[in-house]
Amino acid sequence: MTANRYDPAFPKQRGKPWIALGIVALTMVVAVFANQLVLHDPEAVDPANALLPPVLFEGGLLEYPLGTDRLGRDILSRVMLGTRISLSIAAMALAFGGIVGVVLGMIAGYRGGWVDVVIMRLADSFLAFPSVLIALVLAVTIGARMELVALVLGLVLWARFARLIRGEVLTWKERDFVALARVSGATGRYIMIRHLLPNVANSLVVLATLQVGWAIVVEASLTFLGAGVPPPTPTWGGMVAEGLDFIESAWWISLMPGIAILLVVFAFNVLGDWLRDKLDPQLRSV
Amino acid sequence: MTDAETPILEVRGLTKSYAPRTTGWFTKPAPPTKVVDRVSFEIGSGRTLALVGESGCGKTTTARMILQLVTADQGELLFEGRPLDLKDRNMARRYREKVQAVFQDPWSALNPRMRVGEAIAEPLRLNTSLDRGAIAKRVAEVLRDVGLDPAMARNFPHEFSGGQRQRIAIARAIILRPALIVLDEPVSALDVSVRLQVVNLLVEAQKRLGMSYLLISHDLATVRYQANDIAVMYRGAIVEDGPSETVFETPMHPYTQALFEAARFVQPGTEAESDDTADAALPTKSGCSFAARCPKAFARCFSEAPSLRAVAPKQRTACHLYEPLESRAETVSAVG
Repeated sequence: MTANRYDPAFPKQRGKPWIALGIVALTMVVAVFANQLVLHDPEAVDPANALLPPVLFEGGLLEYPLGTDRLGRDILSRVMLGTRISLSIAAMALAFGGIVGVVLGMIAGYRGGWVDVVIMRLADSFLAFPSVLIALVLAVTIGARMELVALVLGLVLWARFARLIRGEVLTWKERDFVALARVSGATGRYIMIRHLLPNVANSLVVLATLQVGWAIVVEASLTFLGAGVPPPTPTWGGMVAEGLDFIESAWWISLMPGIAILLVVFAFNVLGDWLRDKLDPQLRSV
Repeated sequence: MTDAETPILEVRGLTKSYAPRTTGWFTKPAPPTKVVDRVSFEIGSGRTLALVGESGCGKTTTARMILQLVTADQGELLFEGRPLDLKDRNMARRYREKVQAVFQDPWSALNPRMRVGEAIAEPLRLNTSLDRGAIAKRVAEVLRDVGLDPAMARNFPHEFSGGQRQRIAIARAIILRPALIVLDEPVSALDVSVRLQVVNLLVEAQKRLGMSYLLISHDLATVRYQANDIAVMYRGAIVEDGPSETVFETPMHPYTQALFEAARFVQPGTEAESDDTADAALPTKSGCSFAARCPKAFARCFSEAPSLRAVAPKQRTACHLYEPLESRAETVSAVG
């Protein structure tokens, strides 16, 4: 049989990542159907029930399973709606960064020469981009908006995609089928779309999955710092920030969205790692 | 159309040099190396010209220049008797349509993500406006032509063996009914057991479709079997050419002799190349590039480079050992 790529001491550690898959699937469902699933209006204020602890703790109510914040808003509902915000921003950032990165990475790799140099130096400078700082500046000057957060994330993401795709294209373009297509009169565009893109698709999926976690964490950080999605929209980062003032008395306000971030990011990373090993054993360093 | 006398492709003075990579900021860049040096030959309609020589002699670069994958520094191509001008869109189009290629490595020739039917149809899709039905029909035809089941068009490359993949590559090359196929080591990567089948397939396709072949190979047995004409390359230049039979019977250039001699002692199928001295013996600045390795070299070989000239009615060689035909004729007439 073929050699096992994994540590033979832990053969069972590498089954399908059911837990991660389950969390990701659940996250998706919650993100899409948050409005239908929530028990309360996440922005509805209920001063009588402010700062209630989660249900299993003394004073907790079944009506508010994860407790309430200082305005009496249901934390579970807010975390659920925050899922949508977090995933939407991650999706927007990935769509923007992914498309720009793939196009530029392909052109850089396929064309080579000065085009390659210009694009890749550009990518390098965007990777050195202090995204948090830029987001803060933008938030102050233009105002904090969801689209701006996605844009800032995308500005870093495209460079990561471009780097990966360029490297892949460099190896694929040397294959004979590319030369044969050129002999038959194929244009660069045709070759990139028909021959190169399908062959880099695996790596693309892997990178995108791994970057979801990153995007969620950075979005949460930006919102935590006040440079992200403005209140009262419920977001994970924003909820953690709001709970800071009560961290000693009402720890659940910050902890619950924190757990959500942890679980979702963890699940996407596990899934990405698994996909990487499954689809693309070469892609080890991303 | 072109008459039988006009060569399908004529190559005139094709030259390519590569600048070596600079090693550091302060090192002087080395002078560019000539990989292909003023190579000229012609391929007759329906004929096979074999380009032979050891690895790194410039065979493949020559092929890639003909296929427009590498731009030549100098020289020109005459296609169907007319100078090839790629700015002339009609001509460029016709050239793309009429000149196809089969490469050495069948594992690299097919996109692993593309069904073989699509790969075979690609030249057709790029160059004609046939509808899907007509394309599918043609694909099935050529698959049958190369001895494969037309139903296999839906399969992906990994489902095929090396020999089958090379058949697929041939199917793709003949689908447009080209005038010329550049065969760059078409069977070298295959198992010995399937080589003959693929060679026979090529020979049979040529008979049926009347194409010309430019066969690049170092397998002299195949060359002898397949080629009408032969050109021997050494260090980027043709050192001898002529009809295949003549050259095999009476090789004139010492390099050709050495090459054939080496092949005789090597099992068929393994590489008939002498790689021990190829890089070690640098050519003299002036003089014959083979002089340092040549057992018959004399003083003149180190000072003056021989040019390729006719030494027998149909045979040309670049070697000082032989008197050019014209000068012999002159001597004779002077005496008479």
